[in-house]
Amino acid sequence: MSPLPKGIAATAAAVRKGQISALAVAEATLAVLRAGDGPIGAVVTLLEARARADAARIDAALARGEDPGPLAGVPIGLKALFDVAGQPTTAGAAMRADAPPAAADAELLARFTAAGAVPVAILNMDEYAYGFVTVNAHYGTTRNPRDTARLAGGSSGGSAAAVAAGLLPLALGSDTNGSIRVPASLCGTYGFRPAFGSVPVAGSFPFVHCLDTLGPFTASLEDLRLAMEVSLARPLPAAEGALKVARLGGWFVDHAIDAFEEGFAAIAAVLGALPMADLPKVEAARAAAFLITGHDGGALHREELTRRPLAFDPEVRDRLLAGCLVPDALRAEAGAFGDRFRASALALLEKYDVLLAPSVPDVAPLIADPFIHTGFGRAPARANLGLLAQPISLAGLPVLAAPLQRPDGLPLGLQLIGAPGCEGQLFALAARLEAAGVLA
Amino acid sequence: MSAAADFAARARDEAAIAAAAAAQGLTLPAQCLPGIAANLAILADRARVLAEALAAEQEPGA
Repeated sequence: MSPLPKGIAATAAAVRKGQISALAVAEATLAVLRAGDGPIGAVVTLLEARARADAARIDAALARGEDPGPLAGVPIGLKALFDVAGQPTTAGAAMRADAPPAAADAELLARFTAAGAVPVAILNMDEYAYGFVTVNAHYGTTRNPRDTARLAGGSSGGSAAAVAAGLLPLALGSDTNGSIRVPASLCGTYGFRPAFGSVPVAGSFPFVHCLDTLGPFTASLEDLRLAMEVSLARPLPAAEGALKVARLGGWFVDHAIDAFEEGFAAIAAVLGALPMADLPKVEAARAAAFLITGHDGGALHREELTRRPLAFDPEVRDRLLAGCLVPDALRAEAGAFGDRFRASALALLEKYDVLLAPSVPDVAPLIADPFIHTGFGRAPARANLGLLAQPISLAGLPVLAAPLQRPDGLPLGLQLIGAPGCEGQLFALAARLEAAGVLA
Repeated sequence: MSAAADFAARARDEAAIAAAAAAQGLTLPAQCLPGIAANLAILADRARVLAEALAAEQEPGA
């Protein structure tokens, strides 16, 4: 069997040049997943027949002299809430294991397969995406590849862990309140939460309609750019001129462990200066996002909660039932506050091009002791891993999640936050920090 | 009083919880009650934070 090229760009280049067939890449990847996933628990379903059929189509296209696209033969994993033609879309819920198979791929997945990507696996998640830990009562716990005694984070934990473990070069996840940024940070991968509404969500199982986004995980910044260009269906132009960059203060400093300071000092050294910026009412924004999520998530599942509550993962069920009791009037207040918070965030982004903040307060917590350090003290991981990601979700902004270079420590991730439509600036700054050795 | 402040004040009241659930046709299984109460306590705290921010917006000069 041919050795697998590393990463998306290298794999697609090798396939397009005929150095390796797409089928050989698919077979090797399936073998890697079968052999390597045991201690991680990222994979729910291997898509063996689908992978072979899609790879054969790509090889046939190449044989006819056609270009299968920029992701030719690149294996891709899907969080279990994406529609995959012929498979039930479980969203991590055992009660949906016998749901009718999806008639077609999710729209975002279709963009990737049109670019030549080959679906190979469905990946684990918190049930119905309601969690930051990927501890699933039915499909098991996904473990962190950097230390399998620790949580991978969630709810897209299977996607982050599969990429971090080197099992896959590319995986898709969803981010409602931080479900891409949290596991990317804990596992040490790159990830991207797109601006709300900029990437299609059709054909994915919803959670909170006004916050849901879909995005990729990769092992490198170069691969993330490629994946985001496919996701957005447009090239990301290079940013021109010097970028105005600031670090978010207050809440984002108070609730992050001191280990982040080394990273921010290194960034300040690269940029020459790193002013602190104030985003007002962040704690209330987090509260509003939490309440909207409870209300809308509860409403989405109310019928099943009434009909068969005991079929849910107990942790998720009790959160959803509590959410059902959030009054509509409170939901309306939280939504209106969210509109004002978004306006204040966009106003701040008229002054700065990129805002920096930690993605999570702490490193990955132990599975056996799921607590993290925050400004409130020792706090339960499940409710608090999204402390720094959730407010940005409410503002609907695009966020590049990037791992800090920490050769001797567990991964810690940064949020590079920008204005919608200005994603190229996030990549420009990340490239500069990567070149300087600040990002992994 | 804002809806946030009202919810923050009432979300730990068992009778109010039962009434709100009944109004929606929801039956809360007995084994779920401790978990629901714990999650309602978190939601009540979030509502308190939001209520304080909303009240601050109403202050003169805000």
